[in-house]
Amino acid sequence: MDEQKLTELFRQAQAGDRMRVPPMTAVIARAEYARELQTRRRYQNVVGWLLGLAGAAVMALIVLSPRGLPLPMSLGIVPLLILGGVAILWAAGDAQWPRRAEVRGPQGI
Amino acid sequence: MSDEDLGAWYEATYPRLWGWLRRVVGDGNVASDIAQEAFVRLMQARRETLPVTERTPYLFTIARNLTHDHWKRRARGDESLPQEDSFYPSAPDTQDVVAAIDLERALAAMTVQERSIVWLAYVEGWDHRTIGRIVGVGEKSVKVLLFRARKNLVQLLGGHRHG
Repeated sequence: MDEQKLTELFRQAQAGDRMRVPPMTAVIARAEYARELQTRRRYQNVVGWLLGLAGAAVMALIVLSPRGLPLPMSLGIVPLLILGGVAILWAAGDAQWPRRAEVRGPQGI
Repeated sequence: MSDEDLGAWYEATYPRLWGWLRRVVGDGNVASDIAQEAFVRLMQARRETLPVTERTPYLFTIARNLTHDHWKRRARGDESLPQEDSFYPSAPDTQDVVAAIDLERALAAMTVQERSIVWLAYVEGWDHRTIGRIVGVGEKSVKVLLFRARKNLVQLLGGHRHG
């Protein structure tokens, strides 16, 4: 089989492809949403870790200081910081990544 | 590049990318997912800094990386293409339909790298250097791989015709 025949076969195969091109606006909207999501996740990760670390630091202070913090304060602040950090990290990890843009348009994102 | 130019480039390039991906991954829906993701990634990158001639090969390279990610996720050993006999429903000539199905079957019997390279060579008409960049092998290796892939393809096409 010569090169010309082979090229022709491939061209026929390509011409036979049946697909619809999704609107570029949908793909751009998806790209923008993905970028926003990425930025939000980054901030959430930083804030989550900072809160968690702050909780751990306060707990260390309570354990290490001779007198410690007053009990009601330590009971309130430590779980609040740690749980807050965990909740934010959870939210960052659980965020829904944008679906493939459908042919019908931007509302399909 | 203006939005109008970008739109024209997108309209022209999407079917080409989809066609290649469909042969590489063997599934039209997965090909659509990867094609869109590749465009999204390209648009997220600084597209203004890329020369126009480099943009399409760069897009194909992104898509190739995404196919690798896809396979890693799926952890699938079998990469053979599904047989889609109804893929050319509107081809007018019966002889064309037979030839097209033969080609699809022959491609399905080849390795991912082989069918990827022959498609890029025969459909896109890119040089060895560009194909090498996309599939992640050296320019000289592409020459050898393309020779072997072509030989294999011709044998497979002959086998389908006569078998």
